[in-house]
Amino acid sequence: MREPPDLRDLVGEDLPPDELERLRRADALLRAVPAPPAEVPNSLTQSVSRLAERPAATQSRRRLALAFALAAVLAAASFGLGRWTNGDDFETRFTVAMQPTENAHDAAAVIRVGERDEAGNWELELDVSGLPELPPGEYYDLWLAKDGEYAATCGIFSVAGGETTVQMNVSYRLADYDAWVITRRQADGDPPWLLQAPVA
Amino acid sequence: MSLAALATAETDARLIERVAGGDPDAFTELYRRFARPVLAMAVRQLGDAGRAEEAAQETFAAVWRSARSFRPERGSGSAWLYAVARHAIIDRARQRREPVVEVPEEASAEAGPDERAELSWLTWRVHSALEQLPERERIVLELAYWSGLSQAEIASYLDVPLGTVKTRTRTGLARLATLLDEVRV
Repeated sequence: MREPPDLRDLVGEDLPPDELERLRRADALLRAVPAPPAEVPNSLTQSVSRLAERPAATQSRRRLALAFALAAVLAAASFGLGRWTNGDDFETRFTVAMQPTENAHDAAAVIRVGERDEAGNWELELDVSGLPELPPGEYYDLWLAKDGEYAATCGIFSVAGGETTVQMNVSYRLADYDAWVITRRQADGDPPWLLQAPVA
Repeated sequence: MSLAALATAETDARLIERVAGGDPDAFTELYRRFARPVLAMAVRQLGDAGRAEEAAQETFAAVWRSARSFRPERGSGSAWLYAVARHAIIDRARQRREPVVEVPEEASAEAGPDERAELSWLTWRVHSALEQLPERERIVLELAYWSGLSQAEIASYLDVPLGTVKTRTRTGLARLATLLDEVRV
């Protein structure tokens, strides 16, 4: 690739010396650094814009703590899966923004994956919004898929309108799977996928 | 945006404080200012567009989540965002048990760790400043310095007179000089 032209060629010959010197500093900085990316992917902009559609996580946890607690106790007692808490000590290692499918146009979800404990369990924190509240006794399911098939459950949860934050933990090797999926738990057949995201 | 308007534009620190209060408009403006600098740093250090996008996403998730930890007395908003992005990128690299490595750049092929860190910070500052320019000036500067096109070719590409390209280059450089007044190479 050609080098950029000399500054005088770029800006013309008619500048006073002190102004030219000022521009030369900016010119030197641009020559010293690599090019920025040509554009920001739309997928990144969409994922990030969803973050701001919901209240900050800690505020949300406080507001919805009571509603979660009841749903969590009921669900954990029934299935023994997942772990729900409202602690503020969760430390995120990376974040996964889930994409809604055509079955849940208005839904959004972010999974925050925390540190792995000594026993090999991953802490997860799921923020989900836009899913309808279900009748008593029915739940949503966060699970891991492999080759498009149900592979391992991460836990079940209920929503109470607005945004719901749920904490879970799983002991799987995430690298063994290729997608995160949220479905509505149903007794028979394959449930339609509501939200999904690739496992990083 | 005039030079006067540039001087009165809301600071990065003020935007972060508004984000801490849950203001989505401030978050959108921060994203507009810093998406490309974050992405550029992630691509350089991770060497993979997909993982760089994930790291950029995590950076802004951390900004949204942790803006209340920002302390303006400890440094600028831009420096805080730089640190958040660095952490997110390092976390993303550790996830694959790979070291964070700056993809070699022509300007730093022989540089040691200190020089690479310095170049990384300088690059962040310059890229962030570019995002504050009017788009018509930013595009002309990026084409002039990194596309390999001559100014006549840029004029043809943008379908504007050559004099307009020179004027936009001049005003864009003047704005950059103001924004980066204390930065030296």
